[in-house]
Amino acid sequence: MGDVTVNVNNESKKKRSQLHDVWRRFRKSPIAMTGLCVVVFMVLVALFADVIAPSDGRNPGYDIHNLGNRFQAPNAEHIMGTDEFGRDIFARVVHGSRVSLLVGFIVVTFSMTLGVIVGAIAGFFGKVAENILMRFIDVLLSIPPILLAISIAAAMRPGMMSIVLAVGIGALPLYARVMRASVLTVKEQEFIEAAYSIGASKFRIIRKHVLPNCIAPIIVQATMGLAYAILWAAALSFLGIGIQPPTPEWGAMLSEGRMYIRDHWHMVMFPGMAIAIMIFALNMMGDGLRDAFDPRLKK
Amino acid sequence: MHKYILRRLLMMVPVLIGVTFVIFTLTYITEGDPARMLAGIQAPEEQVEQLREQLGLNDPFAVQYFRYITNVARLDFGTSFATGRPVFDEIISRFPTTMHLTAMSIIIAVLIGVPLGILSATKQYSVFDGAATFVGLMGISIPNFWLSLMLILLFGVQLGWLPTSGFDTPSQWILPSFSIGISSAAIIMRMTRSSMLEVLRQDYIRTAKAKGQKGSVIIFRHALKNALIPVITIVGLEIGVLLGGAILTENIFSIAGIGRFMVDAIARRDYPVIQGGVLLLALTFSLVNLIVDVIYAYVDPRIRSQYK
Amino acid sequence: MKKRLIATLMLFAMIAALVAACAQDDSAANGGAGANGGDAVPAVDDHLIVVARGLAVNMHPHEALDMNSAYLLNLVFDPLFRLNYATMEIEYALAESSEMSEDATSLNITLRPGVTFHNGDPVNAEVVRDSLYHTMNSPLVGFLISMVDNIEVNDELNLTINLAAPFAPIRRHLTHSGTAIIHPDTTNDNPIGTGAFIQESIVLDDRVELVANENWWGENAGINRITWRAMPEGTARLIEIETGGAHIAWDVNPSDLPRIEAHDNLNVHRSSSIETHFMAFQCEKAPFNDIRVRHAIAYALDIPLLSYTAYEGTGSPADSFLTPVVVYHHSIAPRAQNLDRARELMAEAGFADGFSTTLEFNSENQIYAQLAVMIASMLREINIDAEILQFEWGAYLDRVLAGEHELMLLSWNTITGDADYGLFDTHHSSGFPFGGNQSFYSNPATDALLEEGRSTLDSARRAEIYRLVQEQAFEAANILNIHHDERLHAAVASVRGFGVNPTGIIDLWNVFFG
Repeated sequence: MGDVTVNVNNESKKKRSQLHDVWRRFRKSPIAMTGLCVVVFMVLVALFADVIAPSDGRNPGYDIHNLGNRFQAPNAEHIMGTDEFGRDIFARVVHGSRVSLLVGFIVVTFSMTLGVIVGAIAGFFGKVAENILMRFIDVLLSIPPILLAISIAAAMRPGMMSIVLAVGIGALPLYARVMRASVLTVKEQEFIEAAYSIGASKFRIIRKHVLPNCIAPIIVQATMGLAYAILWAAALSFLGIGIQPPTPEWGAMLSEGRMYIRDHWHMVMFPGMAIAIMIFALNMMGDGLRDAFDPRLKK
Repeated sequence: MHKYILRRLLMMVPVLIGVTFVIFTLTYITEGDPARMLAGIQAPEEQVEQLREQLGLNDPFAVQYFRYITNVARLDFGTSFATGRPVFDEIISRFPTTMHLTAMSIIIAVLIGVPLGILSATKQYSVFDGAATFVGLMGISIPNFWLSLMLILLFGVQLGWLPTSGFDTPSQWILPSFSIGISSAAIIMRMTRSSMLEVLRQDYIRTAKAKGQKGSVIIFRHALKNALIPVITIVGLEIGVLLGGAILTENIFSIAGIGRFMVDAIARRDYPVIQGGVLLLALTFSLVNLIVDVIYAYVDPRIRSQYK
Repeated sequence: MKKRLIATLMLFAMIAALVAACAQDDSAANGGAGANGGDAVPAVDDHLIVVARGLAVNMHPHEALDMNSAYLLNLVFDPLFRLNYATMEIEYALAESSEMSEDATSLNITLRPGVTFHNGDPVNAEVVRDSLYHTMNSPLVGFLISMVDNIEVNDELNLTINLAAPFAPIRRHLTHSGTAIIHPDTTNDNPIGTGAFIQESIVLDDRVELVANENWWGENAGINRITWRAMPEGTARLIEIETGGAHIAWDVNPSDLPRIEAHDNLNVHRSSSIETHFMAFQCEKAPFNDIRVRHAIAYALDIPLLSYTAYEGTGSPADSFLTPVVVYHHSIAPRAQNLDRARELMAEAGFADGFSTTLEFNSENQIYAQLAVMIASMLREINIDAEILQFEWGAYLDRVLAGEHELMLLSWNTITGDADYGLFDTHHSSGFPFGGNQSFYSNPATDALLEEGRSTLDSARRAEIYRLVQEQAFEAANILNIHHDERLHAAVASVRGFGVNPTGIIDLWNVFFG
């Protein structure tokens, strides 16, 4: 028993220096660092949305109507212009970052947790469990994600919960596949056999040895998955079955602005750019992370 | 190889049954009574009840599902609640348009993605490479429904060059195909680049270089064919993605394909259409995957040898 | 090595072949439709191209109840009566004359002689009777003439419709496309009517081709062919006629009006409408069972501002549940916004600190999203926190019929143009939960008046009755009427004779190019 503990300690020390290496490599990539900076900036904007675009006492910052001020083109006072109710689009984009990030994080947490469990079980236990679980994943994969999401969203009361399920279930296969693949590789390695030989339980082996070694690809997948979640949540809101007004979701703002696109292009321009920049940054970060975790690819 | 294909085809059966089960369950638990929707808000309850009975909506879940599955096995997908026509006819009549849109966009994606990927790999670390990498990342980050709106705004409304709806004439193909093809082009470009880089590092390329072969000869005669193998997989996967992307795009560009029909069907709770449509799309998707895998196995001898 | 290259090339070839094949299938699918793309208006002057929200859900008149179907069914089928688009008075269609009994329990109809169906079969009293029975047995449109007890055929062209109870506005109900006369062989795929146009071909969800019926009994001003294309987006429809892809854009967004008016080659065609948009309370649910709360909310809303902003100055703020073109409409100005009065009433009802509620509507209506956002913002002034919920039509109907809603936005079309159709189902206590009384409004006095209104033929008495009903409804505030709609269509300048009916129906046989 003593041996195992020592072993784990060694491993965690190794892990720390490994993480350090990853960070060192990550830091060197200008693209990855740009991505990280933008993401951090967006998170800060989301956290301080109420400070940047404060409430007027009765109405939240994103829903202050001024009907005398409708459809203003971008100007000094409203740098992104105003919408059909004279609301400041900048304020709505700022508050929208909170909604999008929140939805993104919940979706990723949800689908990553489920996906990791499914993938780990399938990868580790193999045989019947694997067959059943992976066929289920195949089922989900073969339904076009947008149709799956619309069907799920239609089945529920609209709102945060329906978006999380609709997008999360669609994203689940991505994590399950990545997880299964890395479990399969890890499983073959010697230290797992060693753990078996000293009588460690399967559950303990998964928790202590297999999972930690699969973290890298899952983290990369989660970063990309955040981008995926934000994009699909926006698509659902664009179709009018996502986040409900007056909450400023970027996709919903696009959908509202669509009617006025010809005369007031700014209404669709800025929320769209917000989505694109957010996803762009997450993808840059994800790319950098993948390269940093797997130095072989980056020469 | 035949055995492999047969096995894969057989494996599709449980998956497709799973698809029918998932979609059937979803439509079953969905709020919204199709009979009431057909009858409207004023219709008295007895008439709606009569309609419900007629549509078979009063039977328990298991009975409904079993009836559906046995009908599907006989290639009977039921009739649309809304139009009263067979679901199969409805979907098949729209299928060519959607496939056409998907094919157009995959061609655009390949024509843009592959050459750019090759170029940026051969000029690694150049300004061009950097720019291409950046644009590639941007391509996968722009939501295609937003891009569609922007393209309509620019080319349809501002410049007036291209029609912004329909899908009958070649000029109508351009905007929708581009707006969904762009992100796939970016993904294909990234894949081509990294696969090309990988190949360029192989020993035989180094040998060729050492023997003094010209750069372009090395790239086109030796590197390209091997580098394109993984690209095929990505192209295959992207066909599935584009098929999904077509669903949103058809709605934005008023194209009478499956996607628009399906979104309408979900909105009006036309269960047989939703179930049949998803099933056929899933079948298409699985078949495309199979074809890609077969081609992949065929072009890569290392893999082919595994399937003998 | 070579083999692999060939294989790779094969993939591309396959894709190319696929495209070619699809392109071919595509034109095949268009078939006889003539595949005229969106690029140019055909040179033929008598070919009219219309872009509308959608196609008919079903081309069997007794199997459809939506407006998109009604537009097209009106062209292919004739009912016994029609509404004049200018006066909303009843005109004769397949009926040539008619007579109502004094007690409003039976209607004698003489048919127009010599009328034939598209396939040449004659229209006679027997066919008309069977068609009306078919309507009655339809789960979809049966309610329109559910008051009919039996129909007697007197001779070749005469029949008598006997009613189970007195029903004054029966002729108006017989103007609805759901009561249109069908050939017994009519199906969705093969609609056989007597109408001005014959369906030639259909590409589902995309377009319908209609050709003029040479033998029509009425007068066709000069359209030989109609292509009716589906285009769900208002903006897209407008772009289509701007760029020359079509002649008429059916329904345009109010926000596009200035653009159309500024355009040299486009005209706006506006008409008053029979549609009223309103917010209803679920009056059986607390706190909306308290009339003070309903009044407080009425005082919190600025109805003219809501109407003006959301509908961009088109239509008018609602002054009744019935629009001004509906017979027996009685105007009562909405309560002026008065926040002090509203807060006072809230305090009296014990809700000085407000409460939370939900405001629901059907997600297909984008303008409702705007109304809802503004209403929620106005309600915040009296501490009511209204969560906005958009539902798809199906889910929405479920909730509304189950009475799960609290505040909801909905509209009502008084299709027959008569007060009875507008008020009976929506204000009579027999109308809930099914039937249209979604505010769960119940008032015995109103019930009695509504019952009397449909059984009397005396129009002075009916005017009095419906004035009282509208006053009672205003006082009860079970429904806050927000906006009277306006029909907005755009057409290229060469389109003449384009008369819009308040019901939304347009008699396209009156259209010609000039």
